[in-house]
Amino acid sequence: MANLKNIRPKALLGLLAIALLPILAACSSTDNPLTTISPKSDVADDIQQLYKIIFVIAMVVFIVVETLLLYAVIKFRRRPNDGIPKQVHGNTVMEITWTIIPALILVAIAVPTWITIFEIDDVPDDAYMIEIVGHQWWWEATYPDGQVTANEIHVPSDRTIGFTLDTADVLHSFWIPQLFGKQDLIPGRTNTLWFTPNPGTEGRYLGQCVEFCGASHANMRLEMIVDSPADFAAWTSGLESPAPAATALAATGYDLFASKGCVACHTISGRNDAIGIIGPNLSLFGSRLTLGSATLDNNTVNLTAWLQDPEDIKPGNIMSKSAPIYNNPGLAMADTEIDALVAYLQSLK
Amino acid sequence: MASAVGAIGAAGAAPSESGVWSWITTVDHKRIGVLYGVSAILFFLLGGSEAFLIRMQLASADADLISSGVFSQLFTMHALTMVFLAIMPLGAAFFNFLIPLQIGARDVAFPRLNALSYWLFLFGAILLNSSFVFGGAPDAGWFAYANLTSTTYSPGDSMDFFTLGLLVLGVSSLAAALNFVVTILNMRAPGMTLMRMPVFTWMALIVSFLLVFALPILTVGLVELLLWRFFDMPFFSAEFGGDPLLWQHVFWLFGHPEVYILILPAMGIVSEILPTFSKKPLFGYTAVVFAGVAIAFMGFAVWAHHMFTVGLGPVAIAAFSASTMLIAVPTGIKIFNWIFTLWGGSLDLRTPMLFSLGFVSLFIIGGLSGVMHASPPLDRQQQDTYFIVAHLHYVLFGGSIMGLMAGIYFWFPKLTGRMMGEGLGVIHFWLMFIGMNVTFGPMHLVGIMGMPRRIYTYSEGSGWEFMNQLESVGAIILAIGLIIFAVNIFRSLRSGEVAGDDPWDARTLEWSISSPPPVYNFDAIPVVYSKEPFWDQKHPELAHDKPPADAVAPVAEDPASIHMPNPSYWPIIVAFGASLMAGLVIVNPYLAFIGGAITMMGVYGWIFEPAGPEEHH
Repeated sequence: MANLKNIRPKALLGLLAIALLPILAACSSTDNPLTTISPKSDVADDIQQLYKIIFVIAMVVFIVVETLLLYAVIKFRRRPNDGIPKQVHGNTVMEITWTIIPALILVAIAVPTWITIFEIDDVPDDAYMIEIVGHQWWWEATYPDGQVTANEIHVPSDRTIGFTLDTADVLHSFWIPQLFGKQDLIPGRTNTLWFTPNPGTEGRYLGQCVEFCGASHANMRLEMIVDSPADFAAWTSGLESPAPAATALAATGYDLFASKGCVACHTISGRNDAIGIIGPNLSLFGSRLTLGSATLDNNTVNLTAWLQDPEDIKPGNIMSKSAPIYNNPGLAMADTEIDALVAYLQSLK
Repeated sequence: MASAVGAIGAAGAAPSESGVWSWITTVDHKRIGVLYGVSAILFFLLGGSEAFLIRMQLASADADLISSGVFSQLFTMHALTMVFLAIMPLGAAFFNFLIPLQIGARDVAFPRLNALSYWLFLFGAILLNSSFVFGGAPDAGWFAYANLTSTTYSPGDSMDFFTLGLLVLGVSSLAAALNFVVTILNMRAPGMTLMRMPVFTWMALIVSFLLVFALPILTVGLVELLLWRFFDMPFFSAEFGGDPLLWQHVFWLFGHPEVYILILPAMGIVSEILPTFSKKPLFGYTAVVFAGVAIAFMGFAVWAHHMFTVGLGPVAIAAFSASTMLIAVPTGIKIFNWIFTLWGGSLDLRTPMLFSLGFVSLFIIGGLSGVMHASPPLDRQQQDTYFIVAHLHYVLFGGSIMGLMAGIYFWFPKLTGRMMGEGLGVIHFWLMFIGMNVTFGPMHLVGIMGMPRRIYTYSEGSGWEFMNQLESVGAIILAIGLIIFAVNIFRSLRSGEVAGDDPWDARTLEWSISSPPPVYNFDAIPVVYSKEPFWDQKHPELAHDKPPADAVAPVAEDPASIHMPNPSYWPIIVAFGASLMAGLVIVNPYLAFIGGAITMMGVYGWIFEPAGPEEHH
């Protein structure tokens, strides 16, 4: 058997560091937008604190028990002249010990768990409440003053944000790991969630649906944009008074948006004819950073590809299944028409 | 499959009869065990292939190998196949083969019912998988959460294959479980009290009770789903006063005991192998048995830990997190007793022992990650991520599969009379052990990095690419390991070293008879005085419980005069009729009467089948 005394603690630490490198890498939120261990809010901090306690306890138990097992295997492996070992049937004191010690460890895990459960449960009364509705496969957000947006949800950084969660169809789960843990959206009930952004955390946060909801579950992402109070006020007032279409091409797109039937499903604030509610609200679409529920960057190439063949990007979506332009060859869009629609949508700022 | 069965038959039990017909009509528990085992291994390879395709799709970001629709079918069928068609029937294979041998009986209590269980399993499995051909396999996840399963969101037949396939499989498991309960409670050899039963048989008894209580719950849920889909009875639809959460409660009230149904057989197997290869009795037999009983009871009180994020309210989730954490106590008791079974022993590190030690070391990891998401706030970050996928595979692959592999290497010589190749076995073990850790270990990290389960694609820049590549390499290592396993089985069947009755110097009754055992198992029904009757017979000077001085050795009966049940083709007819009935419901409920008629005919023939000794042999 290897002499355990010869192993230097420094070498062990080095090995441990190598083993932990991927974990350290996982901490960097720029490389891992959905990382669960880079909290940016009070609620996420609470979960992180608890995670650290439980992780350390679990690692200690892991190392102790696996070492005991490995030691027993090495120490008691069969040697050529082994006889029959002593026939030991058990030991009551030991049984009681390894019943009580794990039970005590579990109490050490359970008590902070319960405290955290109640700490993060109730939405504070002064929260800024946003209604979230999940759809196959996009997110709708309605603000207290009635503004509506989709998939890219702006929130102010200076106050507690609350959500009511409903679904228009099947189960979904609302999750932005750096800001808060997930909560399911379930037909027939309204769940809630809340968080307060930490100071100085203005920025973009990726989220994703985490309850399997059908063919494009993987493509049901969202972004939450934590704005400074001034930016947030500018954004909400922009929703109320959008700029008119600027170029001739965009003006053509404006007309196509009606004549190709887009208005039946999409709302654009400032247009009386576009008040559909089946698809995502497209107000201020031109200022959004992503499209297709945060699956693609919002640029000309991606938007053109999306309008040409949405099924390829988001399998099963209602638009490619039901919109006449994708199902009636007589109404299919020419490339020039798509260019005009792209120009129009990008002008919505 | 026929050739594999034939090969085992040629090397194996019951020399008096062979050929396909003898397998179709067999009621011999050992042969039914082989049928279960061979079918389960084939389904294991099928489920493994499905997982392999999933891993290849996820090996890189934005991959195009598999469409989203097919991907959903693959992960749904992978889980259903592994749970219902591989691990459960592998457990049933061991129960069938071993229970009568370990308790000194000549067969199970109801041999024809036993055959019916197997054929229902096989036809139910075929029905479920036939969906691939008839319009697409189930694709709403193995948990099939309402209301994604409604006719609105799953319009085709795929969910009906799910419902009816699982109903048939449920009848099969329920019949088998009742059979084992009756067998274990009534047919133990004289002197074998409950607390002298081998631990494997104890775990089989516990699993059978779990099945008896858990399966009806699933059946209720499935029937409700069926009524919803066929007759618009809105059990799970919120708009008509139902509740989609009802399905989750019903499913997990079955689903969590099911986890213990999958792991306890492996725990039983390991509890036999560790003592044998340490040359010591199991440390704390009573504690291990009662820990198993405690796990089974508590298994019914933790289901809502699968539902921490549905909005049950803080009091409910605090209570369920406490009950869930409590299960770690009996589980820990088992692990410490296993480790101290090794302590002071003389450990022979041959293949069955390697797989058993692999089981213990990997199960510890799965258990600890389980305690982590028993904490609901942590679960809010971990639920439905790859962290859970890692956890469940450390329990079900590192646990169940490693344990069942240990059992295959351990009892193969008893079943066939030949040893499995040790060299290939050791290679197989290390490939599985390393492959398993390379495949499922990084899933912990990628889960903490936020990768959700059940996504068919992810974008570049997610930070998950490297870990996923690594996992896919692990899947390749696992695949090579399984090929070596298959080669080892075929080579050992043909030319393995002849085993003899007791190749491992083992401790329980099955090793006291010939390998392979005769049809009637024991010519003399043994009389039992201790927990390890065969070991104590070999080493009377070390025995803890000695036979009384006036004990009389049991007298061997003349094999020709031992009455064994006759072969019967009625079980396969009943099973075929019932499965056909289930399958035809999907086509047209009226056509199902055809299957019903065949079933009734089979039952009629079964009832009036002569059981008399005139057709003996």
